Amino acid sequence: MIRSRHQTQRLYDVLAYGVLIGAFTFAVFPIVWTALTSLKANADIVTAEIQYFPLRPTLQNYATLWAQAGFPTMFLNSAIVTALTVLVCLAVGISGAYSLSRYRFRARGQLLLFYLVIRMFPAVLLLLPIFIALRVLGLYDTHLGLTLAYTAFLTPVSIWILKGFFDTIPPELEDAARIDGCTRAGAILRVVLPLARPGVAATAVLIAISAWNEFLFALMLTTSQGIRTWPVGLQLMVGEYQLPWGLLTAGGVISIAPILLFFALVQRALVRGLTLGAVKG
Amino acid sequence: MRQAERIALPSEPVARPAWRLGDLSESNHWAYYLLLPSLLLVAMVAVYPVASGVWLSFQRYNLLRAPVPSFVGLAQYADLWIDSVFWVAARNTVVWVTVGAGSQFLLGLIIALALNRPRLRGIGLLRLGLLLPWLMPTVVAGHMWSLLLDSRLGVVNDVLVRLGLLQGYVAWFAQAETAMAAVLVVDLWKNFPFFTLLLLAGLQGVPDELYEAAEVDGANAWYRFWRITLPLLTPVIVASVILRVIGLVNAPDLMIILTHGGPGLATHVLSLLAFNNAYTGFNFGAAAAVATVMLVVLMVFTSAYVRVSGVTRE
Amino acid sequence: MHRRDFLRATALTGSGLLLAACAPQAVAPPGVSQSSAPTPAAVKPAALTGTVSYWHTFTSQSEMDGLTKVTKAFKDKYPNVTVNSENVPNSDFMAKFTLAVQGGGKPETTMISSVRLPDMVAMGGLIDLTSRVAAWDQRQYLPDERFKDATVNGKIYGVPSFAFVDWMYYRADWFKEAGIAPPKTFDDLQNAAIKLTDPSKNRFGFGMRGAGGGEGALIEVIRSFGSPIVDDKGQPAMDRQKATDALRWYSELFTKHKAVPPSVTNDSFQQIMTGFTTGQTAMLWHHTGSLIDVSTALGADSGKFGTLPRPAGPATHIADVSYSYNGMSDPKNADADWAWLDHWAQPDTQITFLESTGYFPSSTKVVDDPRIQKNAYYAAAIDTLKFGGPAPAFAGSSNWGLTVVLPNFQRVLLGEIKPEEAIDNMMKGLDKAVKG
Repeated sequence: MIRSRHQTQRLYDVLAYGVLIGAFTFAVFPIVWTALTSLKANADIVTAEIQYFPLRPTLQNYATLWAQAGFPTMFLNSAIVTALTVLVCLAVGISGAYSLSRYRFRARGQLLLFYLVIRMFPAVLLLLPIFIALRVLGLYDTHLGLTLAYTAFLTPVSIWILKGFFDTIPPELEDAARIDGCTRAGAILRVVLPLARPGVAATAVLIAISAWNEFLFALMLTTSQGIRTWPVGLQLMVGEYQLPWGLLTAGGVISIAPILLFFALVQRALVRGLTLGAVKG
Repeated sequence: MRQAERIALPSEPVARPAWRLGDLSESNHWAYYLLLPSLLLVAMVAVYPVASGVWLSFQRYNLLRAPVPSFVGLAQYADLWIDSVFWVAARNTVVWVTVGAGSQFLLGLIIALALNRPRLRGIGLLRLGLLLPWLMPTVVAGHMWSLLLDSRLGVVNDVLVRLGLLQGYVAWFAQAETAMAAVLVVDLWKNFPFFTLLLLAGLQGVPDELYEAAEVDGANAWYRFWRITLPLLTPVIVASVILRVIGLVNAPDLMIILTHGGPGLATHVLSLLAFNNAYTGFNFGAAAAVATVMLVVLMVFTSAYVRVSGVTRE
Repeated sequence: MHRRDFLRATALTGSGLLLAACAPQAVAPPGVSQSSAPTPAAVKPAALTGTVSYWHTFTSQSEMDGLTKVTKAFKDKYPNVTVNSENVPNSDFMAKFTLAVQGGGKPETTMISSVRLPDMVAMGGLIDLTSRVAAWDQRQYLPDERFKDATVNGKIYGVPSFAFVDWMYYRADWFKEAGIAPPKTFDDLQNAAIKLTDPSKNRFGFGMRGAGGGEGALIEVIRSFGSPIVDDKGQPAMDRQKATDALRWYSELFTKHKAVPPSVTNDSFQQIMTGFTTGQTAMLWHHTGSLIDVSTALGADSGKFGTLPRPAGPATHIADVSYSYNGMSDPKNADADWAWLDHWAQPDTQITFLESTGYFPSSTKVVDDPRIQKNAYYAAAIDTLKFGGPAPAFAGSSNWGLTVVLPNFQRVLLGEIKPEEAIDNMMKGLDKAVKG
């Protein structure tokens, strides 16, 4: 019996590897191509015969990109706005999601849907009211203003996803904590959040990526004199008559780097986290 | 779900009122306090813009003709009803959303299940690589894929020809039959990590004991998946599917870069129609009408799906 | 806090913001332009102070290089004025401009393309410059022609800074090899295209643009067959028969004669350029703005390519000459803003910019410069200026082109509909665009 179970497990492992290697190739191949293209001079990219590997690799694209007016600043602005957005969304989202997950009040279902409404309307049409609102509040072209716009759109995402994760944690654990003397807030911080770590980490990554790559609001709500962000810089390279493949792909590679870093830091949390003296066999 | 795990807790009551948050959390209105920040934020920034957007759909407002909107009731909707382009876009949107969300969910789930196996080596690297497509900014991803699938310089074409799967280079985005499929492949590539990330986190929360108990009872893998994994994953599945469907309905970014609705009307979708109306035609009234249609359809879908899945029950 | 109070608090905050956001924004009614105060006497350079904001869509290194040099020259001339340029991604320019018109934040000066100008005027986004232009000393070097695209209802809204002259590139070496003369008429073009198409060598005669921007070339063909788009009063004036013949002739280059690459319906600027520079196509319709790109790719004096005026159609000889204009949107610093516009039309500036980008100047004084006259490639442009003129543009024309003309053209290329039906749809769309 045990041997065949082993064999079945081995079979699944092999299958899993097959799936993963295949998917990995599918996912990574275009990224590798992007990186390779970023190492070529433009003349080597648009050629009659496709050049797979750069015959004359060069880092010129990266140098040119970084030296372009304002690019490092845009990078920094993106970092600031993304960090702020993640913090606010997590804080606001955890509290809201917990409430919606644990407590039953009359309009709960409708409230959940209400949160989604702002995402259900195409962003292009929401531009003007938000634009005007930020100008009136004096938050136009400020980190805080852009963060406000982002969190309005990303809070519903955090709430829905975090609620999904909170739903999978049994309330009995918090009751046990309260019997032991914890406040409700304490129960959240000490029981629920640690158990929901994978979900919180996943949400943080999601929010970070969405904020980092967001383009439309960044373009409309910032100016080059102010806090213009990185995605706008990338789009600026796509001209009416020009498309510098080398620069654009270099920009893409640079875009990924900080998020990869963030993900690497957060990666641990995504795994089965808590094993504080787990009671096992 | 993780039962009987020992968690370090204070054995004595926490010293109050030194910790105000603790105090606050003991009040009868704790539930509302928790909700307040997010509700305020969303209400402040969401209600007016969406309401004004919907209101605009009942107006005629073309920036090129008149600086102020004028009320026309349902006239914009009547115009949409008789517009054949609207119906083509609606049909394409249905295909785009169902095949898109479905394929992304399935692929994301399969990969999450594979990544969830504890004994695999190199998991960290695999997981990182599988997330990369989602990290790439749309402007770069879109242009890179249009280059990859290019009929002159496209690496994908070259590889497929060398592998013998194709006779000659195919102009994927130029043929009506393949354009939608090509855009769906690019969207699949870009967005399956969204599902993988969330579903994997969800799977991590399912305790081993449940599986072990089921195995002892003689359940096979399929049973374990269907009766244990899926039900426990449902809240995460519902949330991620709803969010992705909303994203697919509303965001034309990738489509704009790859085909801009072409060739002909083969990849024209409602979000693109709204976008064109607003920012090429400056006809905000018409754009608002299309957007409101999308809003209503999404609300119906979301409420129905939430109800059917029972996520807000009890 | 009771639930009632809680809901009330939310409602109050929400409506507070609502009221704030509803604050009436002054939007100029279309057509009623705001004139900038004319200054008959030239203002002393040192007297001008302050800042000038400028929106543009320059992208490439060469363009940005040109802008930097031009800005520096301006600073040397007017040491107390600072120009704050903001580059806006080209594809999103109108979205950002529209937002500024409705919600505030218009730039003082802005770059304007000829296709966008009617729309920008119609939404009340540009200032009438007629009186300033009339009293201007550079006016003598800018014939009336060049202001045509910038004139709406008799008022001028922009000053031309450089030109895009439509012309044609052709593979001189392939033509020589096949013993064909460079095409002068549409028939020549068709014959050459068919003859130079050789699928075994992956060669096609004509790099047709069938995606974004391709509607412009089709409209030129339609006009070449004798069907105007709008008449002098701006009313729809398409000739159904002639337009259908035009569309049939043009599309048959692909559908019948197979002289066009099969990716045509997804080929926009990037793709047709790639096709020509990598040796896939023999002829390419574009304008002077791409000369530097083509000569860099194929070699400036290699004999591989040449430039020609567009071929003549059966009825008339058409070639679009469009200008990039600079205009004013919200001149807070009116005199300094005008000085910036004036600066772009100065011969020195035009030459500086030409050297950086290869863009054809708008001032006739500069066209006589040896840098233009001696360059063999520019001969085609100089010839074209004799008969070329502005493309038909009216409020709503770019939308008509993108959402009606282009998809119908693509459907003809795909074989989904016949040219007759496509022209029918285009004419209906034109009526709607003009009459509303």
